[in-house]
Amino acid sequence: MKQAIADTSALVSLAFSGRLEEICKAMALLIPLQVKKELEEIAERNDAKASAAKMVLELIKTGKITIKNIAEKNKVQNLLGKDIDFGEAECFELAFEQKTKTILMDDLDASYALAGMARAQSISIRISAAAVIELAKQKIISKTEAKKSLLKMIQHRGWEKTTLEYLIQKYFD
Amino acid sequence: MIVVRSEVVTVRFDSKERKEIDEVAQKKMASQSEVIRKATLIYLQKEKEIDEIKRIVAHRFAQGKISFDDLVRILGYEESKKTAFFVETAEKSFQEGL
Repeated sequence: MKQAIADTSALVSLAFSGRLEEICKAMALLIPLQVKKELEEIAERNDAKASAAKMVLELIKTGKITIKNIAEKNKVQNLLGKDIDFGEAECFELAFEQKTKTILMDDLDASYALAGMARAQSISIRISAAAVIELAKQKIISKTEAKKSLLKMIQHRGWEKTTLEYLIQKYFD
Repeated sequence: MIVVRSEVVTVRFDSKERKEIDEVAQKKMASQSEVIRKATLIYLQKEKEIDEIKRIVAHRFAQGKISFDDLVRILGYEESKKTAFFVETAEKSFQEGL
């Protein structure tokens, strides 16, 4: 089973896609504790992201998304910076400690800031859409269903008319 | 304290900044909170427009309609590197999945 670390933004996006439960069955999603804390904060709000966060928290509660502890917390502190927050830093350290080769991250600034270190550790940073594509690659959902889910995701995220919408057209039409 | 519609936000300024705000407020015959509110709204609008430009340019770059050099001319080198990185990451995500 494929394994990936997911940050808060990626999990919210995947909840918006409506495929998170299937993703959790098809691949092992691991998160650090900080991601759960961030989701709990989002869940307290009163908007669409809060509903998405609640959905993710339910999957964490039922053990479909696994929380893993960070062994070397001082390394997380060293990663923090202008573009890297606590959750993203913990995700990177967790990927390193768990020898996980993929991090799902939708924050462009953070993924760009982590890119050099990720490359050095042979860790791939992917956008959340990769998990939906993976479902289609494993033939768990059809290409049409994947496209529909990705369009749903970008609509909820307000990412219409972006590179993502273009890539959906490029790879699915 | 400034009042933004019905919500109150606390903003801290040093004495030099506060003096400058006061000078503009006096010149414009407006309150300091009106000056701060207007400045904030202008900034937010500008940021929105910059984001829109970045979005359009990244889209054109992903489509192969503009080169990296063109991107640099529009966005500057650092921002272009970030845009190119995003397009490459997104492409890989679509091509390979996890």
